[in-house]
Amino acid sequence: MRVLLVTPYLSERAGGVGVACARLLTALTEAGHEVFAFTLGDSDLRSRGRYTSSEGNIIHLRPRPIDPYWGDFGTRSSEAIEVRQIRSIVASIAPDVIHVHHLLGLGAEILPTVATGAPSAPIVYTHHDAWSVCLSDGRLVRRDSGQYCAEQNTVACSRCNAARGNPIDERVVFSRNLLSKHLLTRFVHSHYSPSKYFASRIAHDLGVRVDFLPNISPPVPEARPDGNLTLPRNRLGFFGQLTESKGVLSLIAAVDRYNAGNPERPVSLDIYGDGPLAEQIGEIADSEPRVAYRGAYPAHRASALMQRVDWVCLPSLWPEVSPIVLHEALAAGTPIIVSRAGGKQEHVAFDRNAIAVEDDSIESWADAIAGSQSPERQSAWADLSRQAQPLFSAEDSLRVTLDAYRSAISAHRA
Amino acid sequence: MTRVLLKRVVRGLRRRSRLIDRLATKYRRRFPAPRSANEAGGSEGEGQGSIHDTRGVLEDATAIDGWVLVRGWSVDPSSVLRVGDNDVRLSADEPLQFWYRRDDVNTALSLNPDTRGGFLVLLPTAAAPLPTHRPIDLVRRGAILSRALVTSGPVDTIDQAALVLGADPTLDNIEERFERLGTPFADSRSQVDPAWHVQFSSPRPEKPPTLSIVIPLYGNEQYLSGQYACLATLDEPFRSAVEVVVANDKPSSDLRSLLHLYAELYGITTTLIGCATNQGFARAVNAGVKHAVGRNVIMLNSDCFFHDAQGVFDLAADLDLQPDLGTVAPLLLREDGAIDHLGMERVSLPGRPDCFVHTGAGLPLALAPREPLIRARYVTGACLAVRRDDFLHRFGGFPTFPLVGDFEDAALSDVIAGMGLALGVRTTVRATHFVRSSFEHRGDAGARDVLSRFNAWRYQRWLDRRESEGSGEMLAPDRGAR
Repeated sequence: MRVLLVTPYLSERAGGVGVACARLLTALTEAGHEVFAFTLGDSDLRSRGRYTSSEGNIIHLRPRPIDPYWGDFGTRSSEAIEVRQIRSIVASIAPDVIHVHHLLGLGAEILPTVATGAPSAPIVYTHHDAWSVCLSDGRLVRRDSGQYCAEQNTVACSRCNAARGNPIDERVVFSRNLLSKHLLTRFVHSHYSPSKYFASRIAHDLGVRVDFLPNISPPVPEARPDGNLTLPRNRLGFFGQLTESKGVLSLIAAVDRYNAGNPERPVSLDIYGDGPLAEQIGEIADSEPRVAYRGAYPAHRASALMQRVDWVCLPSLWPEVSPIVLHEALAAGTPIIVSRAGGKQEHVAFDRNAIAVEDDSIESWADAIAGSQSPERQSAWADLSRQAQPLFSAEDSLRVTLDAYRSAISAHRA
Repeated sequence: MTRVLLKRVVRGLRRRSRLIDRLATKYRRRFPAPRSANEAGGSEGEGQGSIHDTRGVLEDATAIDGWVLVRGWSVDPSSVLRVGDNDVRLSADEPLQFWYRRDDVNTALSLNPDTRGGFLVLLPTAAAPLPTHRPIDLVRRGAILSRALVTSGPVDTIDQAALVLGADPTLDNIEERFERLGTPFADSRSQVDPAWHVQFSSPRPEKPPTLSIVIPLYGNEQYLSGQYACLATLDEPFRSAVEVVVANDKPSSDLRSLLHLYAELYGITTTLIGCATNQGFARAVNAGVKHAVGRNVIMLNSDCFFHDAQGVFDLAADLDLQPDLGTVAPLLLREDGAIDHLGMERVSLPGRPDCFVHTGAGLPLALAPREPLIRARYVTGACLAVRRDDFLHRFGGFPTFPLVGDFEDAALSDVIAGMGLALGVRTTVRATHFVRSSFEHRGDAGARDVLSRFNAWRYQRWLDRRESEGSGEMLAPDRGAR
């Protein structure tokens, strides 16, 4: 099968979308499919034109200037000549299917451009977040109230954006959402999301069917944690981007609260990752003996590092779609502590490979940490670890992805 | 004693001169002299900035239609504007001008407005012909304080009009002032302006489009992508049956590249027309319809969006199937989802000219009528479907008396109803119209209020003239405005 991936990010260093797309590209290629990709290039593209393909079949598009009206979302100014050029490239690729993973940075125009370049190829779109219906980074969290967002609403969306420092009025919200809806309903043939929660929310707002499709799961390391390691299982781990929305500061506060109330059975917290909060985290680690900052880590070492801790914590303050860290922890065989909210809990089985946190508050996290230290959980840890397996194996997730492609192709031909 | 007194007077005058110098410096920093006059090529001693006195400055003089708008300030009420051999006093009573106070300048310079501080003056060139580059002088006691050359570069007539109409915040007797002001902006623009020309045209389909979407545009090009994306959702053969005609009424905006992109991207037949000067909503629409080829035309405001593109054909079908229908509009919603328009009603307010309110505005959509097509006496011009031939040849296009898109829809409704045709609102076709976003280009709320009252006053005059000439008869659009 000849597949054209369209994604702004295609690197294991570029967050969840980048990791998911890089794994998909690898899996498809290793399975013998011919894969091309459009992705964002650096601003200093080496070619004089608008593209470079220095990485084989990966074609880097020039970054588009941000339109002051649309901001990060929606349309980005372009030129008719560029549309024609990209269209001709797509036509020469002649893909059987086009799999679009995000429009961020690429501009909404990329959809009609690739669609008209290969009209016989269906477009499969994976919603890696709710960007298509949510101007607040696609996270479905009301920034003004902290509540998870139940429905798109121009007035509420405007207030939400104002609360996060992006003062846009209802008209911008309306026109942006309308553009998104028209383009996604017109040019996309099959909608998917790696989260059932997000799939249902996006389907509600876009008015289209959105099905669940998992990302390609990470490989399971041959070596699994030794269930006979010494008790207590009191090493917590945080992995991922050090940003506020990932909740690392809340986790530190919860650990502090737990340790203050349980000086006889303290836990430690190892933090792996990088991001805007790295310096602050480093300072906290210097003054707090039970918190250690281990720095950034390469994606291929994630599972091995996760096996060094007893529990992987996912304290994100937004619903999350299909967190890479969660899947890597399951692959590593390390039990997870995660809240019941949003898409986070879809990929785990509570009390089999994960401990539930009632909500994203510090109090709930401190309670969940206490639960992880209970004698029952400590003794059942080996079972939890054994049950920690990705919901889909790498092979299964590739198979259902190919099934989705074939289904879209046959429906499009029909 | 006399010598002492003289010294005091001289000292006082010097102090006053230094004060005025400081004020003038401050003023010039805040209101720098425009480039246009200098670029006009005035020789040394003639160009703006070379003859500047601390007692008065002419900022610029701009030709607008048959008028020249002069901006400046003077601390001396006896100063005059010298135009050729004529001296025009800076006075509200001066017959050869319309004078407006500029409170922003007065505040900046701490000038007493009673001494004719900051001013905007409209000089009718009929009284004093002023070719461009002709100097206008600010003269005090025979001495030239400042000089400006009349320029005629690209002028945004509506912005200038808004500036003039909104310059004096006093609303007392404003209709009387309108009477005096007459019609310097709207009427002097020719009705059939040959200057409208095609700036871009995409390849035409083999079969000419049957439905034209005419979009008058004044700086809202960011919304075009949403309108095009909506039309792109049409399947063939409907998509080929539609064309978009954009009438760009903002000469300073070059939209050729953008429209080329959208035509290419969305596969919609597109024509872009433009004009060297701003012509206003009505003339832009009228020109757009003239360039349209569809049997039916939908006039769509730049900030109005169909929810479902198929709705444009539903409106056209109403016109095809119901000969007694002169025009049909969709049910308009606001950006917050509430109803914006189910037709319009005329209301009388004490102390003000009659105006129009939208029926159902602000109500939840659940309260919309269940009938698929309702009749209305008036419909908004934000989104209207008409037969092209009717619009051009029977209705005479949109009347052109207002400044800014305002009241011409009511007047068109009057024309249509006067011919015994019905006006309808199809409630099953939905579109969202942003509330008054086009007015945000027109200055602050006070200026917009004055503009609305000006347009209401013009509408009433148009109606009066129409009645005096016999109701039911079509008025040529520009006849009513004179």
